[in-house]
This record gives sequence, structure tokens and C-alpha cells, in this order.
Amino acid sequence: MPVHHDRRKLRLVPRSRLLSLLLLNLCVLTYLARAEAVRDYEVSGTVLTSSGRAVPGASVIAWPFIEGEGGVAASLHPVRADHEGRFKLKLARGSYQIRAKDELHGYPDPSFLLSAGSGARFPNVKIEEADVHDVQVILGEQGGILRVYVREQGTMRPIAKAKVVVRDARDAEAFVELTADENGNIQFAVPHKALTLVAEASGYSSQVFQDGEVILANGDYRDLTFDLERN
Amino acid sequence: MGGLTVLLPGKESLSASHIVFDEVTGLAAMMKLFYRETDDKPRNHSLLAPMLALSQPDRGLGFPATTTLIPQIFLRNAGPDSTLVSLKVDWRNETKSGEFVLQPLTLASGAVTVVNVEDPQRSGQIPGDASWATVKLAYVGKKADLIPVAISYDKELRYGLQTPFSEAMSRMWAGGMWHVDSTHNTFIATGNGGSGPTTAEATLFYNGGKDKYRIEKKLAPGEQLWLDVGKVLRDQVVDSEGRTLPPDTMTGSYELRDLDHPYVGQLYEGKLVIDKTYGHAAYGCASCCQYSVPYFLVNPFAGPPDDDFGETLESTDSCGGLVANVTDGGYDWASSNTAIATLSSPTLHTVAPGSATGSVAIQLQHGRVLPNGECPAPVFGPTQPLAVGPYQVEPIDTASQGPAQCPSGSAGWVRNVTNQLQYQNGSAYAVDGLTVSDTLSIGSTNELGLHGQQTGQATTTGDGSFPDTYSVCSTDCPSSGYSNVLQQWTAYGVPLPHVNGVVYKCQSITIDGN
Repeated sequence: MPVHHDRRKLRLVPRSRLLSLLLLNLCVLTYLARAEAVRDYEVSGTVLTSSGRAVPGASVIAWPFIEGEGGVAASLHPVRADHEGRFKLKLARGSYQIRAKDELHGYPDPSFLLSAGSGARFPNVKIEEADVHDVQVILGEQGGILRVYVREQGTMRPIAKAKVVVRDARDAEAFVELTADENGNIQFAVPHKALTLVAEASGYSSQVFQDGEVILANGDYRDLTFDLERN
Repeated sequence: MGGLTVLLPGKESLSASHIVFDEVTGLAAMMKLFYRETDDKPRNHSLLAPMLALSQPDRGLGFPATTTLIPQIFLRNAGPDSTLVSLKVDWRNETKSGEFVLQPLTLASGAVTVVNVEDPQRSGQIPGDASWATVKLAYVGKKADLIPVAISYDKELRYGLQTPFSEAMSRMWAGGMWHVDSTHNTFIATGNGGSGPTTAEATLFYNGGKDKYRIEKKLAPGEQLWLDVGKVLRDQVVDSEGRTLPPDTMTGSYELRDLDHPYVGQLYEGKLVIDKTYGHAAYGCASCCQYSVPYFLVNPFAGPPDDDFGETLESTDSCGGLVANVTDGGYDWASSNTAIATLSSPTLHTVAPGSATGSVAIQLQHGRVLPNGECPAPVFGPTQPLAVGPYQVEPIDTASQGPAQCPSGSAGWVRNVTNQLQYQNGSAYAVDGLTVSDTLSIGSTNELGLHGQQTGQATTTGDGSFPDTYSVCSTDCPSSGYSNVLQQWTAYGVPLPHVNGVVYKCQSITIDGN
């Protein structure tokens, strides 16, 4: 995939001026160094399906990673692709994998292990001193959309904040815990794979989805209802 | 003739009454007892007796036409030192009013004297047809060092009345019952005890309080508004709105109000209900109306920078129990930090994000009415915490969470939340399109071996919210270890006061304990 690094050197101050500033005291130099460290760079590109079609409105995030031992914690703020699938991210120096999703059309959240193996191609970018343009993010296989309604058995009243766990039927370690809204509703894009579902809520017996595994593809919708019995 | 003192050395509570009666004439009179406070400090005292009946009684009193009263002022110095007493009599007849100043007199400690007001009236210094007077006296000493009583009885003690002295002046008086029929009449008086003019309003309520009769009058210092309710009914006197009292009305309540001084008034009051059958007159005291401790209506204040906000001060009026807007009484409006917000009038102007305290001074009649009837008017200083700009970012919803898709060789967790920019009280900072940024810094515990410092930006929607994904991937996962991370949010380029504590684990992420 084409990943172009901007060759222009980015500086906060002109070189000639920086040279003159070198003659100034150390405090000033320290401040400049700090200013350089928090500089944001632009990463831009397009979100496409595997067939090369742009994905308007896709949600794009830059997932940070490091090479070697240890790890990275993040608070990621997604940006929305425009009507031609184009996006721009503002990022600090570092290594990122650019990921995208289009949950309204069944392209699930790639942040979850549950979505692994979809065939998506999420490019890695390393930002050092330049913007990065023309990044292509290729979504994986299209899954579907689950619409779940959790209610109380008998009264049929919705159960706010009920939990539904969607699990990979072939990999118990890959799952997502979903939280219902105030009306007991959940909508979630799932990958194209066999899934099991369990609903639970405080004060109620948990319930496994009785009709077995759920498999969705091609952006199909599936409506499910759980009737939980009070303990 | 003498005085009576009841001492309570242990400051016990005691209810005492003093009654004087004459079996022959049937005279009976309550003698007011004055409360003395040993811890009180000497100061200037001005006392008023608003309804001293003069020699020729008002026809409204219903006394026989031949009745002549002897107006007298009884004075006793109950204090430890001699004191100089100044006395004035503000008289009034049907058409005129005036002032007669008596010679100041010095009273030794324990001395008792009676000042005769009949003589100056007989000599013409007070007009003979003047029926009423307000007695004003002044002295320096502790409260109730001087015991005054103003009385007017005929020589047989058959007909007469007394008027109590009081230091009380108020913005509003809530009166009890007035009563007018063939055998009763009521006089209601209010006077201007201040040094400048004011507008007094007297309102008679009737028909169960549903209807009212209202008289408004501008009063010079010392001047009175006088209502002979029987005459108002009998002569169908119109009020300030052109209304009259229905002729068959017999009872009701009343209220007196200082229209020009809504917070600390300068009206004194008096009421007299006459039983014409027996020639007895009973004085009634109205209650001065009190405000509760004033407060800022919006407290604490939280708002965006560069905005104007009209402040409101409120207080509950003990008369009626309604919440009153007392903003106009505020003065010395101030902000503790004008770089954050200015408050030089009831308009608060927010300048820049940060915290400050707004304050104002206001004097209101408030608190327990003192034993001498005085209505205290302390100065209050309400304050208002000011929070300009947002205070924090907190998650308001978690839509999904679970094991993260991490680079090969590592594992972790991801949690999708809706974050919201908030004021300190947790309410939404509902500004659309505001860019907020955050910086994650590794804390003191880092068992997952986290590296680096992450930064990012987000844009708020109309309710101040925005989506956020918290994630962690580590080669140390799976494990039971955790790492503390500090999340500093910035809005308007200014760091928010609250820093989030985020705990990253291989199988959970908590934000500020949630």
C-alpha cells in the first residue's frame, strides 16, 4: 500500500533564527524543545472497501503501538471520513496502525479481538518529522448488524443498562461486552463469523441465546429479544 | 409610685406580666415590662410612642363628650447612672400637625418622674383641639435603662389608654385584627421615624383577605399616616385606587409597608382597638416582617467564558413566605479574581476559564425581634463560587468493551465510551464544536510496562459529548498487573482543573474509578 512521507522538514522556527537563539539562555532552548515535542502532524488518506469503493462516513482511529517489550495505553478519538471516504488525523510522533469501521453497514469495530481475521488491511505509519498523506485503509469482510432488545419477562419492560456478551463461537477469548441504553436497546456491528450471545442484568438470571449461533454477512440486520427472568 | 425590677442572676427564662387595676373605677391596664440585657453596651436610644391621646379625646374613641384626658409620660431610670432624657411631642389635629419640644431632664439612677403633657396643651403650646401625639424620647445608655410609659386617663380613671414605647422601625409590618362595629373602632397609625422622606402604604384586608383597601402617602420625617377605620367605613373614604370599604365590613387584618425602603425600613407603627361600651382601649402590636438569610439564586455559578449573566439575590419574606428578589439591595459586588470573572454590579461577566468567588453586601431586616421590639437589620455577605469554563471530562456511557486486537505478541483491552465535557457539578458543558485535547502520562505504578505519552484531540457535540476509545496493549498481558495513567484534558487551550485517573489492566479499564 502506498504510504508517502512528506519530505519537507517541519520546524517551529526558521533555521537562521534558531541559530541565533542558540546563543540565548538554556531556558529558551528548553522551551523550544518542548514545543517541538508536542507538535501534531497530519495523517490523511481514504477508507475503501476490499472492492475499492470509498466508504463515506467511516470512523477512523490511529491505534498506537510500539516495537519491542512493554505496551501503549491510549485514549483514541475517532474522526469521520467525508463523503468520498477521505480523512485527516492529527497525531504526535510515534507509530500507529490506522484502523477504520463503518458500523452502520456491518463493518465492525477493529479495536476488538472479536473482529480479528476479517481480512482488513490497516496500514502502519511512523511519524517522525513530517505529515503522512495518501494512506489507504481497506476494510475487511462485511459482517452484519445486531439489534438486541432486553426486557423483563412478564412485564415486558425494557431493562436499562443490561449487558449482552457477544462471543466468537470458535474462540472464547474473543468477545465484546455491550451495554443497553435506557430503553434496553443495543445496536452493534458484528464480524462475519459464528457468534454466541448471552444477556445478563443485575437482579435477573442470565440467558443464553436459545437459537444457537448467529452468523451475519453483507450488512444484514438481525433483531433479537431477550426476556430475562427476575431472580 | 415607683418601679419594679425582676432579676434573673442565672439568666433563667421567665415570663412575667404586670397589671395595674382600680376596683372602684374598673380600670385595668397591662404595664409593659422592658427586657434588660446585662451584656448590652451603652449607645444612643430613640423610642417612640405613636398614639398618645391628648386632652380632648378623638371622637372616634367613643368617650363621653365631656371627657377630658390627662396625658402624662412616666419615666424611670433603671440604669446605674444618671441620664439625660430629651422629649418631643409630635401633635396632630384634624388638619394640622406640629412639634412641641419639652425641656430635657436629667434622671438620677433609680429616679422616677412624671412629665405632664396636659399643661403645654392648656397653655396653647400644643393646640387644644389636637387629639393625638407621637412621643419621642432619646437617651444614652444600655437598652431599657430608661423605662417610659405614656398614659392618658381622665381624673376618675374611668376612661383612658396608654401607648407603649418601642425602638422598632421596619420596612413592613404585618398587623393583626381591626374591628369596627357599633361598639368598637380601630385606629391604625404608621409614622416616618427616619431622617428623610419616605412613602408609606397602609393596606386593610377584608373579606377573608381576598379584598383590600390601600392608602399610600408620602411622609416627611416625623409625619404619620393615620387611619380611623370607623371613619373610613362611615364616610366611605376612597383609597388610593378610588375604592371604598363595603359598609357592612366589620373585621379584617392590616399591613404597613415602607415603599421607598424595601430592605431596611423607617416606619414605626401603632394600633388601637376601642371598646366603646366600657371605654377601654387596647393597643395591638404588629409584627415586623423579617427576611431570611439572602443568597445568590444561582449558586454555584458555572458558565462559559466571555459571557454576561444577570445575578439575582433572593430571600424569603417571613410575612407571606414568598421568595423575594432583593437584588436591588445589593452593594459592593465583587469578584475574587477579575481575570476569571468580573462582578461590579448585578451583571457577572465571565472572562477566562478558572475559578473565583463572587460576593455582595446587603442589609436586610432579619432575625429574632429583640425584646424591646427592635427589628434588627444586619449586613449579610452572600458569596457565590464561580466556575468559568468546563471543569472536567467524564464518561457518561460505555457502549462496548472487550479484549483488544493488539499487535502480535501483545494483548490488552479496549473500552468505547461517550465522554462529556462538564462543569464541576457534573452538568454538561453544552458547547457544540469545541475542540478538547488530552495528554496521557504514565503514573507511579506501571506493571504493564507502558511507554510514551499519548495526546489526542476531539470535538464536542451539542451536549458537550464526544466518542472516545480507551485502549491498552502490552506484551506483559495477560497478567493481573496494572498501570496508573493520568489524563489531563484541555479546553480553550487551558488545562481543566480535574485530572482523570485511568487504571489500565489486561482485562479492564477504569476511568476515575468507574
